Amino acid sequence: MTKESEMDRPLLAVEGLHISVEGKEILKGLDLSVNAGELHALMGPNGSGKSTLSFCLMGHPKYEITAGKIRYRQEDIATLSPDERARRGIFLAFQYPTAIPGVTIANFLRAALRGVRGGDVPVKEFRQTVKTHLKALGIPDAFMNRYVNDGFSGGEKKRLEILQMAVLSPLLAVLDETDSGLDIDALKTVAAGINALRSPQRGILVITHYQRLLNYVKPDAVHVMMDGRIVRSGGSELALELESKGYEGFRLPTAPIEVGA
Amino acid sequence: MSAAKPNVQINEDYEKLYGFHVPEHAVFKAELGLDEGKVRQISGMKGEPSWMLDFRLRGFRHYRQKPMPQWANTELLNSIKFDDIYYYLKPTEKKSESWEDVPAEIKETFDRLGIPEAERKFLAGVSAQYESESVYHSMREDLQKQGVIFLDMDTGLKEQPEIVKRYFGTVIPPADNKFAALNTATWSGGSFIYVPKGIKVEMPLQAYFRINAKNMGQFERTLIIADEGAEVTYIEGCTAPSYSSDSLHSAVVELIALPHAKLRYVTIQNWSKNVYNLVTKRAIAHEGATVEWLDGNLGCVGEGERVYSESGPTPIEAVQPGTRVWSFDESARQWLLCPVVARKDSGEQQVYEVRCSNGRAVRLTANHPLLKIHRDPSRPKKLGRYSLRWTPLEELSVGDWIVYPTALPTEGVVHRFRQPVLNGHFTGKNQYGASYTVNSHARLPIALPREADEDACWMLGLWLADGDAAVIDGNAGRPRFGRVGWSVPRGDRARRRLVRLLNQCVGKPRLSERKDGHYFRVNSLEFALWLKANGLSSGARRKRVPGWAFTLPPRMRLSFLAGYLDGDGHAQNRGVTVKSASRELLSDIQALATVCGMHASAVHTAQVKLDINQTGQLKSYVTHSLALSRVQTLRSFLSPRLRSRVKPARHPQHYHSLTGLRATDLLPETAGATRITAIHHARMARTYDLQVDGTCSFVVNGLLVHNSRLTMKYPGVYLMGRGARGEVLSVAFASDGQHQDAGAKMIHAAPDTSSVITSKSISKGTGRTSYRGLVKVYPGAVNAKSTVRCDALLLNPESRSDTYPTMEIDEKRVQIGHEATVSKIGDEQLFYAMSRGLKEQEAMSMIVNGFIEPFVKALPLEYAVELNRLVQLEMEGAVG
Repeated sequence: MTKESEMDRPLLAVEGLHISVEGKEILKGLDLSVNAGELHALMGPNGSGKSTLSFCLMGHPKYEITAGKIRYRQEDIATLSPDERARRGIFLAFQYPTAIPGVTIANFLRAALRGVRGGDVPVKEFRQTVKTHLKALGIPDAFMNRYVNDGFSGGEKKRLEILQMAVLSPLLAVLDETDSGLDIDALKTVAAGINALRSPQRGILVITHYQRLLNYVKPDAVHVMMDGRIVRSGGSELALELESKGYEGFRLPTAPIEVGA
Repeated sequence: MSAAKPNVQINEDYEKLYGFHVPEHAVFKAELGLDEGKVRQISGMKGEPSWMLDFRLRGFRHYRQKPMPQWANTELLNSIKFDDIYYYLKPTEKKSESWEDVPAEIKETFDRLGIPEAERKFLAGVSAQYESESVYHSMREDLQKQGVIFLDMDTGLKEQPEIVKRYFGTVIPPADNKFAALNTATWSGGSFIYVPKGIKVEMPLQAYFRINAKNMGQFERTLIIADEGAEVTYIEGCTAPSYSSDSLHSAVVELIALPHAKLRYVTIQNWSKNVYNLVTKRAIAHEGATVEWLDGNLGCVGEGERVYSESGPTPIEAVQPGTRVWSFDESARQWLLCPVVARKDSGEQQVYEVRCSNGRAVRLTANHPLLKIHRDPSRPKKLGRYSLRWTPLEELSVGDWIVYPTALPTEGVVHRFRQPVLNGHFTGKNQYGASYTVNSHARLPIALPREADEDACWMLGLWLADGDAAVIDGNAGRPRFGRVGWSVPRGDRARRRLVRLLNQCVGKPRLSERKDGHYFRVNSLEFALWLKANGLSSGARRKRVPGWAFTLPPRMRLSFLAGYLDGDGHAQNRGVTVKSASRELLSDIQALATVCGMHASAVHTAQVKLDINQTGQLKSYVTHSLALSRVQTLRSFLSPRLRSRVKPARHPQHYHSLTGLRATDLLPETAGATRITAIHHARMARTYDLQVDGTCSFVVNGLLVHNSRLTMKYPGVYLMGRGARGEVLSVAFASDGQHQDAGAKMIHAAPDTSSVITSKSISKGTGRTSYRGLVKVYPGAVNAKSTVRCDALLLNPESRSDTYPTMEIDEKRVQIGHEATVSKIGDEQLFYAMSRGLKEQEAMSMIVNGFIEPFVKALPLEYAVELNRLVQLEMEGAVG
């Protein structure tokens, strides 16, 4: 790993992970380790299994772990339900957030915060927290009375994800292509949101296609993922190399070679 | 199985049943104790203007002329005491303007709904009707300044006679139907709302009605007028806490939306206990006006029907939340005791009586589901053509097989007899005034059992058949003497065992026999009081099986039953028949036999001529009889003589074999199938429903029924002016095995009218929702537009939703659209919410609440709270 953290054990350790969806193997022995305080970028072409990894980290019931382990703060979380993972401090910013018509963002966020904290949240405190984050993200207050992702533009959806991340302040945040489909202003807002969250206690995994987000968010490590496993890891310079060479340059020969992280 | 439809077609008959049209072939006239003089008197006491008196008299004449609808309960009508109306009109209670003066009961209603006090006060105008008399009335000052009138109808007539005169009876004229005519003649109370031109009332106005006296006819009259361009929402909630079965509620509600006005009317009746029959409600939307309507109701079991609970059969109205009742767990296929979460009073409703081949019968509303053995001939035989399916009564026909419990498994508890409190000493006085203590001779030694055993149970069962007891009070009004007797003659089959048992208690010398040898008794106050304390009261008509007998361990239960049969039963083929003068006692025995796993017939009633007292003259008696079969388990408990007369069973006992069905595959040992032999149209009855935790079903009168919960009635809007708009928004929630209806009626009678019907339904588990609606367009209503939107949310793959739109379109140039969307709670939605830390169930209810949000938004706070609570209640057990 590129940087030594105060904690000798990683926040997230994925070891030899194999995942199948409806009988089809998508992740084929993925190893990844994220320490507290680090921001990792996971890059890869379409269909390489990036989103599968993110869903799997959150505990989507459709994804079946056939081999390997996911350890989060030394705990094997494979059998935990999504809400239990959320309560332990894992957060996933969705690539395609789902709409829940009729449920206001305010209600949703409050229920989420209550769920994550495991206890009631005083209205006053909640309002203040939300207000601060709304301001930081440049979102109008009226946003809170809209229904979750119902009729949202792409940018609004992503902003909501960042807002949720900020309010829930997770220990491990996984951002699944949060930058895709954003105009430059929205991208900057999202990046600012991510940067604001960076702290020595937190680990962040940013999943992205493009290098452009990494102009605003400085990663500690970059991993290139292809065909269900990580083929290359390196520092932020790797992202630039990727930008120039394209993913083709990283494509493995017919027999996959193990590349150490 | 017969494919014929039963004579229950509540949906088709809706108009007829709920009073939009009265069939002309009805015959009898009821006098009602109402005459012209009384109508005049009512009007006079109220000091009404003469035109109102004329109006009342017109109503009265129409009432006299109109035939009584066949379905009406004439007894109920005859029992109305019109004098009571005078009583309630007396201004005995002053209207109170402050919150402190509001009756505690109404405050409790708010408490029950969980509304914080501050918010209650915030509600714009609260008007409460208490026995026809408005006791609390307040209006926000700014509304008053704007000229909004919100009064009770009587005051409205006094203060605003011109407005009332102009609109009263224009939507529902006195001649509309018999009950509207009766209401016109006798009305009292109700709400009167007038919103002046262009005024928009933002907060909903609402009224709470209470009816709580016996024989109390409520004839309230509501008139709501939204003048040109005005906007108003009115919420009606009704509470009827001790509304008795012999009272009547016949209201008339007229809504008028004048050109370009917007009127919204909400009734959510059963959520706050309502009375729903004989009410005529109609809205008229004039040119460019909008009427929105929200309406809800529940279906239920008739009053007095007995629910089998842990403490024996209990009348449904007496079942308290928390009591455990017998219920069927379909997945485990076994009978379980499940706690009742809530009991709902659903007011007067049309009920139907279902009779079954095993003699059991129950009265239910048409939407109550029973567990039917469903045959699907299209399925391959190997996979089995039969399945269990909850089917509402309205879809069942004579010949269908339904499931009932043959034996309710219970370990039972040994009853500890209550010991009477006896005053052992009296103070005597001699002639010089000195007092001394006298030991009561009631305290002569008697060894009564402390807890139930087989012998004691048998003895008490026999006492129930042949015994009597009396307690005679002394001068001081305290019980002084007591005796317990048996008419068990010498040589009777039960005599020897009884005498032996009594000897153990009291010793032989204390048994005094009558000379003829037919009767003997024990003179013991303690014994008599002991019987009383344990729920055994003397008298042929008062005797009942005490509740504890139902919860005894099986052998003691059988002993108790055997004791009763040794007294009053006689062998008939392979069963035992029993006769009694008390119908109630026999239905207790019926239930007890059922709990013991026997087959009990219905209680039959006959008139017999007998010479019981051997006076040489025949006297006429009403006697009831009950036949018990499949009594194998009971045989060994009976006296030898009776046992020898009951023929042994021919075959080992099997459950009903249906042709081509091995019912045992479908049903556990403890359940049987019985054929429906008749479904009768019964009278209106007070109805209740139970919410049972988990399984949602319960056993009534020995038959398994499912609770019915939320269904929607069909509000109607008449679009009479060009450009008028009507909207109905409804929500229905069907959980496992239920079938819920939602719908609306829209009558387009003018050009450019439009209507929107939005029906939101949620189906959970095997629940099924339907939309049934009528859109009628009269000739000439060109460019009428109607959109019917049915949104269904299915929570499980087995859930189902149907739409049955009816369109009667007599005009060519119209646009009628029907749109049905079905959405499922996607795994993705669920995953998204859960990934944010919401538990699965929380996530589910949040999604469901979101789905019905457009409905909830239209409700004032307390109803929204109530609805959300209801959804949460419904959602419990939805997952996991």
